Amino acid sequence: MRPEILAPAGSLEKLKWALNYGADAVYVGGKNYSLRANANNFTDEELKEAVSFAHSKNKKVYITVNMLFHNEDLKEIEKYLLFLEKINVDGLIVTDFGIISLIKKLNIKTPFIISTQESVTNYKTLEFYKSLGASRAVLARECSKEDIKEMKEKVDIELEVFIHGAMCTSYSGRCVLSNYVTKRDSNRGGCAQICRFNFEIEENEEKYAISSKDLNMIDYITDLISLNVESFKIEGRMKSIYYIATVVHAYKNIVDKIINNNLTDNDISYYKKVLERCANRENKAQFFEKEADVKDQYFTGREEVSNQDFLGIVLSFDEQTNEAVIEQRNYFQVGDKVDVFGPHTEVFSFEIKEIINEDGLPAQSAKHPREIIKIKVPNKVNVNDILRVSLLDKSDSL
Amino acid sequence: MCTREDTKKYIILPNKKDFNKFKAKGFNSFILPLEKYSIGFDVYFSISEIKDLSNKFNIYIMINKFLHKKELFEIENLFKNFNFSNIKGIFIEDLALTKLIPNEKIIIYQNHMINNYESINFFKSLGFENVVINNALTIEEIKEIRNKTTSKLFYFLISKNILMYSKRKLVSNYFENFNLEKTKEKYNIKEEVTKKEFIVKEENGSSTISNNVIFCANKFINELEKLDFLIINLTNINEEENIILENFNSDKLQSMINSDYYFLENEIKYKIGDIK
Repeated sequence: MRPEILAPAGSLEKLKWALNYGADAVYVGGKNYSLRANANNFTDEELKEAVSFAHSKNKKVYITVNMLFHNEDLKEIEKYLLFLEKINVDGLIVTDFGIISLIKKLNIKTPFIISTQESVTNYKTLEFYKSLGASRAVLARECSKEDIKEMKEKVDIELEVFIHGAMCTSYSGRCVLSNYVTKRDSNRGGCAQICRFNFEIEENEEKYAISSKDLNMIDYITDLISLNVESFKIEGRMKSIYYIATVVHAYKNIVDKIINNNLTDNDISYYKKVLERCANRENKAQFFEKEADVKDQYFTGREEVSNQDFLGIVLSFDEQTNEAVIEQRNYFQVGDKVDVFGPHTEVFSFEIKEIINEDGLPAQSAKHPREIIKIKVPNKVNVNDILRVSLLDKSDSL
Repeated sequence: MCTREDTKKYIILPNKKDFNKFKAKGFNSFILPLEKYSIGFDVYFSISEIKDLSNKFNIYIMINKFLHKKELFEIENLFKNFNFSNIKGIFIEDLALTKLIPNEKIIIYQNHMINNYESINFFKSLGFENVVINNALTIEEIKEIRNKTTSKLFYFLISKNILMYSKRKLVSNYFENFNLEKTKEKYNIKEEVTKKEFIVKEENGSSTISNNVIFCANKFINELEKLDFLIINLTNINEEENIILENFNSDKLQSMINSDYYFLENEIKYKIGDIK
């Protein structure tokens, strides 16, 4: 069985990039009721367009309605749930039992999915949610391989497992530090990420911090496929289009190669480099094979490096001249080695021999944000392919 | 000393195993955290201790850990021949336990998760009519919940609440990382900017962070007594214990101790644009 690659989309633009780069489905939030209250999120009109765009490509859209509702929040929610059913979204990701209640009362036919905020860690809990009518559960990120195996064996319900991205230090949903420190409600999308703050600790001079490193399951994709997990989820509705395209592309290729039985060590080595560099935080497999330990955590508030790997986007390509028009995203110059990748473009590297600026003049570098330039490329490229700092070396032959 | 009638709806979550002191003050109902399967408390109780105490007092059990494969297997065995009849109720975080414990004994305690009347009524429709409501609710929200539900509502009236529960070793990891000597399982920590104080505690490979300020809702005791059960959680409370036990139902208690009841009077925001 080929698992679904499920990508985050914080905006319509990101949704299109995710689906074009190989995601089988996306999860998005409306203007209210999701756990990313401060992301752009989608208006009702954008949700309609998102569903229509995804369905035209035979792909799915799940809507996060996964905050914890206070009485006041219930006032408009019935209308919203009915709207989501009407526009044919493919699933509702929910946490609050009040929302499950309303889905049933309103006889909404859209499948509902139990959010990771409910921290499902065992098969009995899964049975409980199945008995309520849930079509799928997003498992707690603290689950081990053995936990997942038992759940898959004992309960006939779809499982969604996070494979990449940031994770909470706590079990998801079981942290209200943000409420107490900043008066922002973590379980209604206002989390201020207090786990990334510094604390003083009695008797010790070294600052105390508890932030988790990110999740990266690249080494265990084969295991997850053999466990028959239905959906591989990527975290990051606040992340950039570069991050989303890169991570989706990497995991889609890995999954395809595993299914086709042609995944090599070189592939793994290359995509590890890609995934390690595309975010500004370290990533680890966390709880899958062992308990998370000292290496899976940060100990000062911010240990993040800015990433300028994203060099540009292909706007057009002239097959006669092999010239590509590029929208610049980060500084690069003549002599730099870059990689190109895209939904229909195998990764390849080349050296920038020449840059032609917007005035048609040769330039030594592309240094202005979003400036439009032309470069020669050795192979055919496609619109919306991405240029990045080269990570492909001679040992990588994909 | 208070009368039995005064203490009827109050349940003590003890910080020590000496029950005579509580009994002498008129308290007869206790929540006992089950050892190995609960976290963030000062004292834990084995099944046999719980059985013994249930012959003397109104006993509730607390099981607030998430159960992974191994723990679920263990707890299934633990409860296989357990006689629940003498137990008043069992506070559960992991809903797997709804499959192992009679419905009428279940007290839904999903920490911080129950915030509205619709979810409480839904639980009731499933056969679970005992629910702990969140401490980050306003008094108006609590009143509305009371008016719109007939479930039995439990509320942490006085408590250094658990604010975070993690499957990580948040104490050991720190000391290992900095190559420092860990001298205990529990430390006070203070956020650098706001200076807010918390207590971090590691137990059996998992950790909790609790508030170091007592949440004390007594200012609204007249309204809160309309709920069914009020919990006095003495975990991490030492100095103020006597004052609390003497004044547990006084509307002046919050002024006698270092305490906070912010959420009862302030609706919490979540969109940055809504924060004034």
